[in-house]
Amino acid sequence: MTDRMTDPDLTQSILAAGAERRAERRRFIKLASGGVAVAGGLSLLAACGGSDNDNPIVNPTPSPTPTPTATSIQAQVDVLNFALQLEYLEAQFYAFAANGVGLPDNLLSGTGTRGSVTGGRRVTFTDPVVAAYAREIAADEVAHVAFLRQSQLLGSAAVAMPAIDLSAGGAFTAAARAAGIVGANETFDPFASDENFLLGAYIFEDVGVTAYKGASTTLVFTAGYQEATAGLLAAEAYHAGLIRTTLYQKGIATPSLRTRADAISNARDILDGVQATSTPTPTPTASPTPTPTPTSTTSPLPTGVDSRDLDQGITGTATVSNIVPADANGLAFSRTVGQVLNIAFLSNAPVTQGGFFPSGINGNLKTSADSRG
Amino acid sequence: MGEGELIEALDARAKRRADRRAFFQQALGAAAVGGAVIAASSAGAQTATPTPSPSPTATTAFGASDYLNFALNLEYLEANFYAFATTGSAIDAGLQTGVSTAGAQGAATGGRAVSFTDPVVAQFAREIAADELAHVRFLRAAIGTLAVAQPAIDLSPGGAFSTAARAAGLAGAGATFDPYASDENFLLGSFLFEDVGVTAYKNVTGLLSNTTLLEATQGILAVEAYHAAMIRTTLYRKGIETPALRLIEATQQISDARDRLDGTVAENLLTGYGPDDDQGVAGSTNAAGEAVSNIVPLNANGLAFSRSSDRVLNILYLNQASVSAGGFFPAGINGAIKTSAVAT
Repeated sequence: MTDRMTDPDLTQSILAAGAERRAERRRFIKLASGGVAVAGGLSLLAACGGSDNDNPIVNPTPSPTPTPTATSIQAQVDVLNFALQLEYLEAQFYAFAANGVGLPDNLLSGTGTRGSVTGGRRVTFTDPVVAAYAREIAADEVAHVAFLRQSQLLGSAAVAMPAIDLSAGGAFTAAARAAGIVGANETFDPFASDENFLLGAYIFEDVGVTAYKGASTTLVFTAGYQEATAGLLAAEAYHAGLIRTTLYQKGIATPSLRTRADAISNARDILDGVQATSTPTPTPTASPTPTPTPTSTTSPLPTGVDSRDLDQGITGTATVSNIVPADANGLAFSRTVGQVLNIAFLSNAPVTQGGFFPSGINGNLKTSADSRG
Repeated sequence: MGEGELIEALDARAKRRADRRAFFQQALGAAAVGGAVIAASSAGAQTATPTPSPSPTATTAFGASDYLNFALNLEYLEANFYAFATTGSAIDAGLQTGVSTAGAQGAATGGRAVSFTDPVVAQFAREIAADELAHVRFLRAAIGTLAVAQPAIDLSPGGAFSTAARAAGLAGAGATFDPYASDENFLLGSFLFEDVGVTAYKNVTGLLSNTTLLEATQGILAVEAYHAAMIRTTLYRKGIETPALRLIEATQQISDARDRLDGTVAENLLTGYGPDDDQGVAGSTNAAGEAVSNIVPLNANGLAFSRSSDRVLNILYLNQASVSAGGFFPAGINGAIKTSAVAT
């Protein structure tokens, strides 16, 4: 048998397939053809070594967890409350789709302005497997709301659910028009069919992954939170993988499902900014991150922070799928709070309300980024 | 449907996932009660630390490069498995080298190309293969000169895979399990690894303090979760379509075997550790008699699970005892972290 992986031509063709599929992975080919071989050239450890004793040979004791300060704690409250509102949105969407009813009142109270849900209804599923998925995700998202609100986390600091627009004629249609998956005068009703439900779910799921990942560095100073929110991050990635896998599978019989999912990704990419430079987005509205994001403009550290293209559809090549949105290093992307709000508000301008949150969101992190550049 | 019915619907899920019970207690009232630790802290007290994870073993002697090297060993395993399945060969020799003092370089042996019949499964396999290869490259670059070499890896059908399958009851004594023999076997072979990777990376995120490393690690964590969902979703759908394949039952058996191998740790619903830290895809029915799937393995709070490194090694070494080699790593893994837990 031919040694295919060590055959340079074949290896290159496999890599090339990935590159075609994911423009963002182009850098990977560069790395593969020599960049990485420069030992330690991209070493995160080396890059961070100046101030961090990560090298066990130098110092076997890990750096102690910094003592939380009032500022860092407030930053964590802000980030967790921001996450809570994304979870309100997801939980209400899935609860209505699966059960025809929203969250119980005792999960909606808190500081700020309490709003209500507009629209939302039970989907009459035709594929029982999709229905089973909807029920599973609904329960998970409700659990996330309850988790973030519990006393060990936000407790009485939790914000109330803001007004949420799930109506067919509202934010979903605006998003679908922006993506071009319906015409300028058509509506998109995510509760109308299995397919529409999956596409509606698709609008949210990857965004949750990038939001949790982007927020991760803010939560680092208090041991325990990091692992808790990493658990939420992973759950959202599982959900996104589930939805994307299902759209891809159903795309065999209904090819438009793949192209429409791709169009939604493109719309999200336009909303959250398409800056031409590779300058890492400096976590703008995302609260006081005690350690500044590296600001090197020539060789940004590979953390998945890349302001150019933070989104990918599911269509691959003829031979390779693209279920997982990842950068050249195989890392999921990050979005700043402001970029997440660009998508939730359906605006690439710095605004404080719109889209799925017609009255804005509660808490201190509430303004979308200026992503018009 | 009213509120009560929603709770009922949720309750069906609780029956299915015994360890989600705590959630309902909270959802039904306790959640709103009690002072917020964070809220209290923001008023001045610096006690916002939730119950820390009960790190089952002393890991304080390890540094970031040790954790990343541990992860690199897992990526060597996954990358080689998918490389064999999709191309018939191991990963490039240039990616197998490492510091000689941290353990001997070994070969990945016994794998072969799968003759896929379902083109979608083949497309998934190629995608995951590329991702895992990227992870190997990324971690080697990130760790730099301290990166460990690839250890010896047993991917042979007659070896670790069959041992694992027998432990799970998927194969009888003396029978073999060949993950390259069919689409379904390939999916089950993948299933064996993917969720374990998620729990391993999640544990690491709780141990890193450097924010750059942390964000990168979370990026890999998320990708492993996407992979796991691809595999689990596909097994579930195929299992529903063709019950005779007993794929859903097989995920339960593998999950149970992993749970036995990694022993029991104290439940920590905030960080995601627990005595039952693994779930198959078998669903349940809710109060209305409707099916609910279980693609996503989560605890009562809706969080993915964590496994400490030594408990991950119980699974990969296929041994409940404290050993430093076995199973998929016949000569052990390389680096400072290499011993499995006493998993009782």
